[in-house]
Amino acid sequence: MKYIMVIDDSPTIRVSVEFTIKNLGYPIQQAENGNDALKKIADIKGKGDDIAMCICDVNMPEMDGITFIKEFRKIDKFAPVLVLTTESENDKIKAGKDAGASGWLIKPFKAEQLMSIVEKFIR
Amino acid sequence: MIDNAVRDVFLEESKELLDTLDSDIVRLETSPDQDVMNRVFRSVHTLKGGSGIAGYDQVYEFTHGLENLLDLVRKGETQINAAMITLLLRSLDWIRQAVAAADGEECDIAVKEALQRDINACIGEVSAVKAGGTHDEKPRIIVPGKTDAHGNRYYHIRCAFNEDIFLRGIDPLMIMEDLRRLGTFIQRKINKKDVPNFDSLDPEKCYFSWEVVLKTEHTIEKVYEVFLFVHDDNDIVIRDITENYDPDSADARIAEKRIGEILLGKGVITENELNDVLNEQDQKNAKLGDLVVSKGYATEKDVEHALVDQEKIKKKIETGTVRVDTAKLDNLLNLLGEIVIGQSAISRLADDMSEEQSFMLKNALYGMERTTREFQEQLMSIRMIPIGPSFEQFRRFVRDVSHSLNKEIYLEIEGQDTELDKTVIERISDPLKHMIRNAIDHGIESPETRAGAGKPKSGKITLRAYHQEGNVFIEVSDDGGGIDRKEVRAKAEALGLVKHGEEIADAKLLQFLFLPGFSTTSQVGELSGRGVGMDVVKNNIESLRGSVEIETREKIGTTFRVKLPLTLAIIEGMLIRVGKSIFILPMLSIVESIRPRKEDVQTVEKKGELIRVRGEYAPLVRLYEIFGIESEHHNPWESLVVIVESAGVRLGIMIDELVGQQQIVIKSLDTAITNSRSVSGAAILGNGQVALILDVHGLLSEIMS
Repeated sequence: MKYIMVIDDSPTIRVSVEFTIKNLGYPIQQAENGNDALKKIADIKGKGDDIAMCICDVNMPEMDGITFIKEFRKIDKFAPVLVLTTESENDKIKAGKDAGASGWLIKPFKAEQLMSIVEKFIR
Repeated sequence: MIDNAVRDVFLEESKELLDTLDSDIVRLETSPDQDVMNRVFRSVHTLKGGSGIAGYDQVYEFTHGLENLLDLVRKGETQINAAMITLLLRSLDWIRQAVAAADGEECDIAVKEALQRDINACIGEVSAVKAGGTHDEKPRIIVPGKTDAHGNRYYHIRCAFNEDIFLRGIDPLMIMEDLRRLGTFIQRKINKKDVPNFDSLDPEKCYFSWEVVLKTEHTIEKVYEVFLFVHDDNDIVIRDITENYDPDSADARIAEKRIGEILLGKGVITENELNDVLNEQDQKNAKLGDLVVSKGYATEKDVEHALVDQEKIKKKIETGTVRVDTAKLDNLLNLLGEIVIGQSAISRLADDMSEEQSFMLKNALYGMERTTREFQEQLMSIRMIPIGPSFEQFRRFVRDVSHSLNKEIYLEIEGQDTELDKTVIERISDPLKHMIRNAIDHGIESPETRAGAGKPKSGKITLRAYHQEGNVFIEVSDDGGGIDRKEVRAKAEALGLVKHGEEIADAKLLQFLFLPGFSTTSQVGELSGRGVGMDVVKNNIESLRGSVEIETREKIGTTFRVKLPLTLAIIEGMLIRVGKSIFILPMLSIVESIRPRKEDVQTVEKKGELIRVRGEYAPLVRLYEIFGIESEHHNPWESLVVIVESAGVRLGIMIDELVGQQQIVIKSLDTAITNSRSVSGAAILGNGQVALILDVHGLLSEIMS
C-alpha cells in the first residue's frame, strides 16, 4: 500500500487537502511538521508499505519543509514531493527544488488544480 | 473549497492561533525575543493560509499585509515599537471579529481599511509593492497563434531535462505523456548523445533530451502548463511553428544542408531573420551560427542541435544506400544461426576440459555471444522499413471509395515512421484495405446523418501505427456511428453462437464479426456487407502471427486494432517433446495445457478423436501418428495435451513433455523436403538438434480434410 503524506502545521490546510484528494483511492496520513512526518514515514516503511507522494508546507515549527525534504530524500529518492505554501519568493522556491522538491504550488490552491497535479504525480 | 468541515477546523484553529498571538505580541513589547518573533510570524502565516482555504477572503487579504509587516520586523529591517504593538493587537481583534462573523463579508470593512492603511504606512514604500501580487510568474508572450485549415497548431518543443530530475521526484516520461494527451507527435527525436558508456552509467540520472513536433488544437499556454514545475530550471523551449509548418515536406526540410535552413525548418528563426543574417554574413564573413546567436535569434543550444542534424544529413549523403535482395539478408540470418549453434557446441566441449581452461574458454565465448546477439538485432533492423509509404497509397483509395459512396472522408495518417518487417508490410496491405473499405462503407455515416447528429459533414478515418511492448500496432479508426452491439447480438443468437440471455464479454461478442458468413448489414452494398471478408482479414493477420480486436463506441466511432510481431523471422516458441523429437509451437496460438481424464476423450465416427475441454469438444491430434515417430505415451489421459487455437477453432495436441519457452529463428523449408501443411518451418536448437515448427492453422485443415 502506498500513502500520500499531507504535512502542514495548519489543521485547516491538512483537512482541506485530504478532502480534495481523498477520492484518488490512496490512504492519506497527516503530519504536523517535518519531524512528525519523518516519524510517520519511518513507521509506514517499517511495515513494508511505501510513500506515493508528499504534500508539504514550508513554514512549520520544529522542522520546516525544506529541511524535511532534504531528510526525506535521504530515505526516498524518487517519490514526488509537492510543496504547498504561501511562499512565492524565488530564493525559497530554488532552495526547495535544490532540496529535491518536485513541484511548488502557491496557497490558496484551487481544488481542481491540486487534484490534477497530484493525479499527474502519482499516475 | 468552502466546505463546512474545513470551515469548522479553521474556526477552531484560528481561535488557538489568535490566543497564542495575543500573548506572544504582548510579550514582545516587554522583551523582544527572536524565537517569539518567529512564532508570531508563523502563526500569522498559518492564519493566512487557513483563511484562504476556508474562504475567508477578507481575512486572507488582511493577514497578507500583516505578514509582510512582520516579515520586515523578523528580518530586522524595522524595529518593533509600542505603536506597532497596539496596531498588531487591534489587527488581531479585527481578525477575531471577522472570523466570528460567519461570513467574511459581514465584518467591518471600514475598520479593516483603516488598519490596512496603518500597516502599509509601517511597511513603507518597499513593501507596498510586495503587497500587490503573490505570484511572480515568468512573463510570457501570450498571443493565440494561428491555426491551420483543420484548426491545428504545430509546436516545436525541445526538452533537455537536468540530469538529476529523477531525484526531484519527477519522471520526464510523465511530462511527455501529458504532452501527448494534448495532441499527436508528428515528429519525435530522442537525443541519446549524452548517454555514457554502460560502465559509467548512473541509473539515477536522466541522460536523454527530447525534440518533438506536437500537433494540437490547444494554445501555447496550455502546452506550457504541462511544464509547470520544470520550465524554470530545465532547458525547455516551445515554439509555435504553425505558420511555417508544411506537413508534406517537414522531413524533407530537415534534410537540407545549410544550417540556416535547418534552423528555419525547425521554426527557431523566421525567414526575415535568416535573410538578415545572410546579408550580414556576406559583409562580415562570419559563421552563420555565431551571427544567429549574437543577434539573439537563437540560443547556442539551438545551433548546437542544428549542427548535430547537419552532421547526420552529411553522413546520409556521404554513405548513400545499397539495394539488397532480401534473400541475401535471409541467408545472412541463417548463417548467423549456424554460428550460434557452433558456439553452443564449443560451450559443450568446454565442459569436458579442466576447470581453469573451461572457465577461460567460457569467458571468451560469453563476449562472442553478446556480439552475436547484437549482430542479429542489427541484421533484423535492416529488414525493417517505415510503414509511411504503404499508408500513403491508401489516400487515393479512400478518395475513390468515398466518392463512389457520396461520402466526404478525410484520411489522417499517424506514425508513418514506425518501422516493421518488409514482408509484414507487404502482407498487411490487403487486410488494411479491407478494413478501410469497411470503415468507409459501414463505419462512417452519410453526410446527412452526420449533420443530424451534430458531427462535421466530412468523416475522418485515421491510420495509426506504433510500437508497444515488442509488437507493432496498426489501427484503423473511423469517427462514425460505431457498431450496434444489439444487432451483433441478435445475429449471433440467430446463428446459435450465443444463447438468449447468456452473458458474454464485449470483446468476445465483437469477435463474432470475424466469423465466416457473419454480417449485420441488412442491406448488401456493392462494396461490402456480404459477409465475406472480415474472416479473410482475420485469417491473413493470423497467418502473420498477429491478432485483431475491435473497440467501438456508439456515436463516436470504431477502431480495428491489429497487433503484429516486429518480424516474421523470429518467433516466441514453446518447445514440446514427443518421444525423442522436439517440435515448436508458436506461443501465440497456445491456449493452455491440460492432463485430460479418460472420460474426456471420445471417438466419433468419421470425425476421429475428440477431447472435452471446459465443456467444449476439440479434435485431438497425435503427432507421433502424423510424423511416424515413437512416443512414450499412447493414451491421452497418460500424456499432456496442449490446447491451441487458430481462427477461433481449438485443437488438442498430445505431447510427452513441455520443454520450455524460447526465441526461435525460423528457417524456411524447401517444398522438396516437406509439402506438409502442418509444418511452417524449422529451427536449429542450441544442441544442434533440428526442430520442426508446427503450423496450427495447417494442422487443423489437414485433419479436417
